[in-house]
Amino acid sequence: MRIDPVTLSVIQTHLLSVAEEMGALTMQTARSNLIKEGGDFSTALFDASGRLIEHGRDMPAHQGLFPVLMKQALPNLELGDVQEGDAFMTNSEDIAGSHLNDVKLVMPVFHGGRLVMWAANLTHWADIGGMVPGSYYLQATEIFQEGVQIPFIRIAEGGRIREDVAALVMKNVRGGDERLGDVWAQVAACSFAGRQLGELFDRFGEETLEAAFDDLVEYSEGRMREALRRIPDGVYEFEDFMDNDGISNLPVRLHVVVTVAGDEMTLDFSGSDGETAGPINSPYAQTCSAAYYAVRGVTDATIPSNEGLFRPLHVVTRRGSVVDTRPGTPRVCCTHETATRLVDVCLGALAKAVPDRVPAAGCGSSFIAIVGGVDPRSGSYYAWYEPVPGGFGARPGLDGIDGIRVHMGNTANTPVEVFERDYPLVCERYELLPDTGGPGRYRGGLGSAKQIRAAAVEGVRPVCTGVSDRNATRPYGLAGGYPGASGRVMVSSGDQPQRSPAGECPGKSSHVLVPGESWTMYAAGGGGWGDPRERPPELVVEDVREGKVSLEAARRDYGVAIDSRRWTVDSVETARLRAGQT
Amino acid sequence: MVATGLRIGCDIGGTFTDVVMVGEDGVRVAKVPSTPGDFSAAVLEGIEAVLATARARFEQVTLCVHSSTVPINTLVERKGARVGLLTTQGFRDVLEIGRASRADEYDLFQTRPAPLVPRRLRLTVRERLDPQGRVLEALDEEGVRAAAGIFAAEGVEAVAVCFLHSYANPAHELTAGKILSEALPQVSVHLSTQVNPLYREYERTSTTVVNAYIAPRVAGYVANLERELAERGLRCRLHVVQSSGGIMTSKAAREGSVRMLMAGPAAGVACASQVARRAGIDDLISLDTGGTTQLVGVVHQGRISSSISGEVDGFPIRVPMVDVRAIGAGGGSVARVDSGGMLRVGPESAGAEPGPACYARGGQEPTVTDADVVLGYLDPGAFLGGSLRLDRALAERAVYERVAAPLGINALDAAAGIIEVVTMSRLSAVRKLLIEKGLDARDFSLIAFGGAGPVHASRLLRELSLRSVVVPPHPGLASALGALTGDLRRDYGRTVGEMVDLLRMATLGELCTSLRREAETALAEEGVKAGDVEVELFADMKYAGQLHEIPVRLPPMRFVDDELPLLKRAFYEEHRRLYAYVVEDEAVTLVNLRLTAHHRMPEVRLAAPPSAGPDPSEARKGARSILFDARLIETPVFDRARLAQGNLVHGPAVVEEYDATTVVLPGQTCRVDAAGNLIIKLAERLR
Repeated sequence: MRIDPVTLSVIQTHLLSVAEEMGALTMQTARSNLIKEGGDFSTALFDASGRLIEHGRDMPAHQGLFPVLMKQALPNLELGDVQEGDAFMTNSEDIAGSHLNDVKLVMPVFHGGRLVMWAANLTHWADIGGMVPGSYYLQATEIFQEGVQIPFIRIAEGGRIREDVAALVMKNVRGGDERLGDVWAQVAACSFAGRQLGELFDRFGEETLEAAFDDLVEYSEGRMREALRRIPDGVYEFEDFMDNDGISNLPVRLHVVVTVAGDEMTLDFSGSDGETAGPINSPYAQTCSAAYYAVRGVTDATIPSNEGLFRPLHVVTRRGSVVDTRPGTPRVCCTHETATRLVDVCLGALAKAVPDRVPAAGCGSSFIAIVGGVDPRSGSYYAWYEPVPGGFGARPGLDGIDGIRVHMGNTANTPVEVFERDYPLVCERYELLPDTGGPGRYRGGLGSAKQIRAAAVEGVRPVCTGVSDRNATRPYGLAGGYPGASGRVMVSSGDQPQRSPAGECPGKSSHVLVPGESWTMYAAGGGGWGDPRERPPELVVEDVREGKVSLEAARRDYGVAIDSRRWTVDSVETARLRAGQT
Repeated sequence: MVATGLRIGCDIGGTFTDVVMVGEDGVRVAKVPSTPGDFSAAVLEGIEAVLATARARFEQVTLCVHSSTVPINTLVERKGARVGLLTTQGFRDVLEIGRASRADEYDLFQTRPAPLVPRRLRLTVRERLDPQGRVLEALDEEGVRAAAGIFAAEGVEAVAVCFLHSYANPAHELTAGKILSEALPQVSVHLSTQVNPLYREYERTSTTVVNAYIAPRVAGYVANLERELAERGLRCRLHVVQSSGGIMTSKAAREGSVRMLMAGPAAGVACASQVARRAGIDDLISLDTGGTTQLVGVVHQGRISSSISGEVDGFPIRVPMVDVRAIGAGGGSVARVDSGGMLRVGPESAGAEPGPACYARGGQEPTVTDADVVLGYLDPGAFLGGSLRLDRALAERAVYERVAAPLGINALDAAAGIIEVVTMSRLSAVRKLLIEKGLDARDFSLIAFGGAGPVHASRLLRELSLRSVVVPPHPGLASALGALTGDLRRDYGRTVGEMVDLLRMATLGELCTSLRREAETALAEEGVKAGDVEVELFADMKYAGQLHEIPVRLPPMRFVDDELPLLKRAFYEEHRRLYAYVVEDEAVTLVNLRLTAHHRMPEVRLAAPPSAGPDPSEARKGARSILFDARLIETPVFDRARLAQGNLVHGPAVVEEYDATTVVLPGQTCRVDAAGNLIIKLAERLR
């Protein structure tokens, strides 16, 4: 270390505090719900050379973006031209690109007239223009259909928004006023960070802080290397398939080879399929997010996230593949659909290296229901985004979790009583689905179902759009555990079967609801871990009593025979079943 | 309702139960060891002890207020009743799925707290209302009876009922409640429309279920304590502290136990706010530092900052509660060097057992208190009036072995580092709370209490650019004193859920009148005349597109239609204060109308210290060598009990009392005010 450890701890606590306060301020002053209440944003601090030094709020889907954000941004700048109070904004493909909704804003931090740091935040804009409100167009074939592309532009000068530049952006997104409010919040948070950091520089001086940045980066790197050394050296391979890309109905191969050598790890996705026609393409930085999430989950998620954390990790891809897409391709689903499945693939490979630290597959999709249309009562447009929670995979030593957001996404659901009041919709059912958790020594989490229909209001025609995957395949189990149940999207005809035959909808598709119909999204369960026949019979009885596993499944999958009047195990029959006799 | 006479407040802590008695002649105090298992034993012992010091009898007591930990312990230790839940068909798992998000975004091995009602005791029945309370499907009464049969067979002790949209029309819940009560006479039935008639089904269900879960235990505890007190001659009713900082009778406690979960922290902030009011301070941060945690609260413009909901042990609880943030940065927080060579303090705590290394009870890990001993802030012989002797050598050894040696520095520097790091996380917590409240620390004073609070409070003075740091008398007894400072209080609310522009003010007026009547009836039962009730009205409002409403205090209203702009204006003002913007042409929704009824209790006045000149040398009891800014300085030590009003103590200095030590840093000055508070300011800011 270059500086004494106590000073370093104080500086690190201070930096973390500034980055977290930036987050609190972003949340406090933003206008869109996704940021204000959904918390869909991240904040970070960089040194002058663009190294990531400290993260505040650090969302799983964003973590691959920050380490490269300033490095890719700086070549776009004449540094002599950067002034205090400037702010730059982008959602460019080439600068920490993910999907267009992720808008990054960065501001320089000056001390004594010198540029000493950068403060940045990334927010998910509720709309970035394009074909449909919310910009989730599942049949997109070009990035142009997904919204407006913002190159690295100077959005503010001297702390003031450049109104002509802002107007050009805001004219091309829905709810431009609200988005402008979000930009103000982003600027306010970065300016706040600048002031707080100024005090830090006053107290410790540039020299000490620059040395501290080096130390902090090395600190995280050292801890990550130490964590990697605890993973056995070797080559671990895994593959899985996404259902489709929203346009064709062909499965899409995701493949990884994880190589652990000493204190370094390479995750090579070159064996994955090529770019797809539909919007599941993942830019390189987004693929890194998924890889980093998986690695942090099985190593040590408490290591502070900065440039050093990622140094021992090497993500290899083939340019032009679905995991390293080129400019121009559609990509809106990359942050939760492709990324979530990439996490599953990485974890599947890592399970071969450190089986005691890896959960079985989770539900593998965000299972988002987007329901929108015109509310005939007011004549105004509405759109409701709802993730339907699935099952968390079973863990060695722990069951999965029933009905929860898994891996990349973590935004909350909307209360039924709120959405029935605000939209012309009725929720008929929101429940866990028995027998969807993969059987195992540890049981996978259950998926859930949300069933909606149009309210009895003249002229209501809601458009229901499903954004889902894992409907054609099942979340894998581990160590002998069975897979979880897949998801699906169903339309039931209710009382008018002649007008709308019931049936299954594609997982990424839209359906116009007519009166009497119900539209239901079923989220997948999680995979099981370990042989279900080794699950203690009394836990199986408990699951059956809880209505989470059926009597039949207890017998078939777990080999447990239950007297359902007394809730006891028929031990003779169970022993016979478990011995493999039928 | 209560004139004067003897008033008793008590608070149960992890280690000690504190009892204070306020009478004509001042405050008397008893501190007795807590009695886990049956907490009431220590309460009774403490009250008897404090009465004995004044040679007083139970009959003379006119007010007895208890800040009880039984509700929170029952919940946290999962020792509540076996509860059944009846809900609308199709929504059996609302309680389990909750808001569906996970608590930690990265931890692959996290767990979610198991719901308080297992799935097999969550039964559903056919019935359905729409958001306006219109019946879409009638209640299946046979289904309710069938559910009652299952609950009986399963041996439930309490039943919660929560139907969708019941806040808009309680009819189905009332009918179901009646059927259940008839079928299950031994079981307490809790209807969501009675416990928490506001929309959002998960929060309402959770609040109702927690109430059902803890109420039977709380009722048992309160009834037992009341009987014991009555047998000893107590004639007044027992009151308990609510999470809002207000108090209520034991009868109300038995029905609304869920309102008591955060009583202890709330009482502390209530005490701080009273101290501040008397010292003429409107804006303050209250900092309550105990062994394991530090609790931060805010009082803005004389009003305690509160929320209309909160989360307790992972469960949303939607009752008014004082906004208190807990961070793992108390006296017992453990310092360690992590695997990358960085110094970390907390959130792990040495707790009461084994406690800091210097307690000599086998604790090996260095804590903040150990660092204090090493640096000389705490006198090992003066801790708790000398009743617990601290071992300086053990403190030094722990700091040396676990922090100094791994970092390659000496024990003194390591101890100073521990204090710097813990101070940084405390600062961060205070700043974040203020940002979320839209407030600026420079307008604030800080009131420090709790056993481990005053020792480091003065460090925050400069870092936060505060006006002053205040250490009240008896800083270790704030929660017990706070029990006596709360108003008698009742809170009521209903969901309205309409756009403000479409509201009929007369309808709002009728709702307000009915809430007021409910409140007055309840307070009348506690002996308060309608004329002695102060009423505050709040509207929870939001922009139509937002998910969460903000509570807005309403000006006095006559409820005529031309007041509609007044509602909006009040919303805009609060929105601008919190979020720095308003949009005037967007629709505003009035979500809930809420009413708070207060009856102010007589003020607690502590005896003022005698007044004298600025010279504090009468109170000087010695000096010791203390490390400030990397220099050992011979520092005078003062006895707080002997400090007089008007005394000025120049830093560096230490002020000691029975259960706390206050450090005044170099460059700071400490004045004793008329109420006996220590007021610390930067020397140049002192007028």
